[in-house]
Amino acid sequence: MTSAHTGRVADIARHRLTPAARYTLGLAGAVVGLLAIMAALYPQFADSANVEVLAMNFILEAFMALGMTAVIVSGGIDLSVSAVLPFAAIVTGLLLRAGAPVPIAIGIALLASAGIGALNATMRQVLRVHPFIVTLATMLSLKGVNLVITGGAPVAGFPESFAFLGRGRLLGLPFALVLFAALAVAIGWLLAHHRYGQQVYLIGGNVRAARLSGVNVERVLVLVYVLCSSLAGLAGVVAASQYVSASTGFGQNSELRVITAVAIGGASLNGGTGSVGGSVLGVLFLAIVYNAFGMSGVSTYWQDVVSGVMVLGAVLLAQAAAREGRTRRAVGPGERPAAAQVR
Amino acid sequence: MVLVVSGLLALAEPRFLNASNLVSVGTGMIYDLPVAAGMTLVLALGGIDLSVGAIIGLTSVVTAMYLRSGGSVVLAVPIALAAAGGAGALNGLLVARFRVAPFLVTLGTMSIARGTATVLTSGYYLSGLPPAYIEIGRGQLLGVPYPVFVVLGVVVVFDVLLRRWKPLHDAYYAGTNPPAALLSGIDVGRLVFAGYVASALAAGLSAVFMTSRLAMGYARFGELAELRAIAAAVLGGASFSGGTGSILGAALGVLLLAVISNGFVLLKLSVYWQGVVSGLILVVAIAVDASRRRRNESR
Repeated sequence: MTSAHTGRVADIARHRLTPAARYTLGLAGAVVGLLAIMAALYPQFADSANVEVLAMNFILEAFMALGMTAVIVSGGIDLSVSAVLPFAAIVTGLLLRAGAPVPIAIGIALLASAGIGALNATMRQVLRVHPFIVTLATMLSLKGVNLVITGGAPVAGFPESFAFLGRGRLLGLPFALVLFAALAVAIGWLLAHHRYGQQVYLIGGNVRAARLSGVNVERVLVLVYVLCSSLAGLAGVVAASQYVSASTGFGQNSELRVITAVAIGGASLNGGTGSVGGSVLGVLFLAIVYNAFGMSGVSTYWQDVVSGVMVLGAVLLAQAAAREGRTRRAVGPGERPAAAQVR
Repeated sequence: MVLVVSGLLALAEPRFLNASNLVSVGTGMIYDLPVAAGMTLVLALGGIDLSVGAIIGLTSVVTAMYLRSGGSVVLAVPIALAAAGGAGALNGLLVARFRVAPFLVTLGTMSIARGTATVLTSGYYLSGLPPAYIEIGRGQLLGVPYPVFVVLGVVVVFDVLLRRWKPLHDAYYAGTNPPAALLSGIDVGRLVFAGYVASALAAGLSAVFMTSRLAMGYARFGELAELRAIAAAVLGGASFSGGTGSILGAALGVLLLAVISNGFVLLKLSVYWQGVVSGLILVVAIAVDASRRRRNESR
């Protein structure tokens, strides 16, 4: 009974998991393995202080990855996030300096960020061009706007109460981390289980089929881009609070790091696949690797090389998993009933 | 559009038409022109190449390191092109053979190339290149730098080949409908592979001139070159869905971007506005493209 039985259980488990789920599990395993290796090599790695540094170093990318996942699942892309981040930070900073109350300053910054998302979605729809080009245009223009409204100088001089967002603590954890966890759970649930979330997958998988089955594609896409932009705005507000200043230099190349993390998390740029859980693991993976470089004293210049290799590796693996899934489905019908019987 | 902008600029600032200013606009374009031409081919094939800017940095560093280790000037150019072509071959292999999304492939190779260049130099400039090498970029014939002739030659030949030469012209068909192209006997995979190699070689050429004219190797050369190249190609009629675009159009796109940034200098406008305006130009280009497509559809 024992070995044959466990073998069959493992077999069933493998059959019941989708390729995407298996990939995510593998990634989780890789993250845990990486953590274990680092903890074994460097005792100070598992230090709670270092774990916190590790998490907080990538907190901005983590916020952005939540929205980017939705965009990439819908079959799009948003390059403008790296401009929205400093934009929201600067708007908040300028309003605070002008004496606006903290909640109002944050609210206006988030609304403005959401507006940019709506603009992206509208341009995509009206001009009917690939979101890459639309959001590239938005990114370039908005970075210019950031420079124009600040004159290139950092904005500083915020009230004490504003620092809570980026530096305060709740339940013994950094407040931003708690906020992120709550948002990750909410957006993860939304994408996986809510009707709108499922429509996002449908659109990314096959727009025409989605439209034929009555999905209001344009409205869902507006929501997706607004979500992505708002989260980039939130990341900007958090950054302004963390650094107690706002600068046009915030978020340089963050769009690439975020897309890298989401791709490592198993989302395909063709749309239709990906999950918030996977993306969070992707961010964590990047964060650990970057932290490991700092810890081991290897030149940080290697980070780019490694993150590039990881993107390629992750994409190839995810693709291999998907291909295996396809061939299995092709020969599947004979196997399925057998599995069902055992169950 | 180029004429309109140039005309406006000439009216606003007569110095625009000075011979020396025109030459400086022309020489400013030599780096972007080859890259935009290569990008046009890749876009026509339905792909995208984000790695060209990083390939410029890597090629520049490799060339400078080779020269500083006492390498011969004659071999430096082939070595630079081989380094660039190798990176392009990696892109081509992953896209054509393993069918990975070009955006992700070239995003990955972009990080790898830029990272490797930075690791090799620890972020420092590599100066002290032999004068004979510097002469490649700075030498002049009839008062015009050599690279201008080379780049113009490459662009013209490339343009004619893409228009007239059947094996290359097939790129449009392969970009529009790969399965149909495959059925009609076009080796789509090989064409896509060649497209990425050509794009990387173009970036390598740009790196050779940049390294020579600026007399140093630097890992950060070519930053954002991929975005300018994409913008120029799209301004010149290329589309993200593949199947369109021309080298001549892309060259006009580069010219437009160059004239505009020259205008910023001449009119002494803050460089801060430059980003806003280049973003807006891209939006205008997209709108033009969209209306063009709509007209075609309604016909």
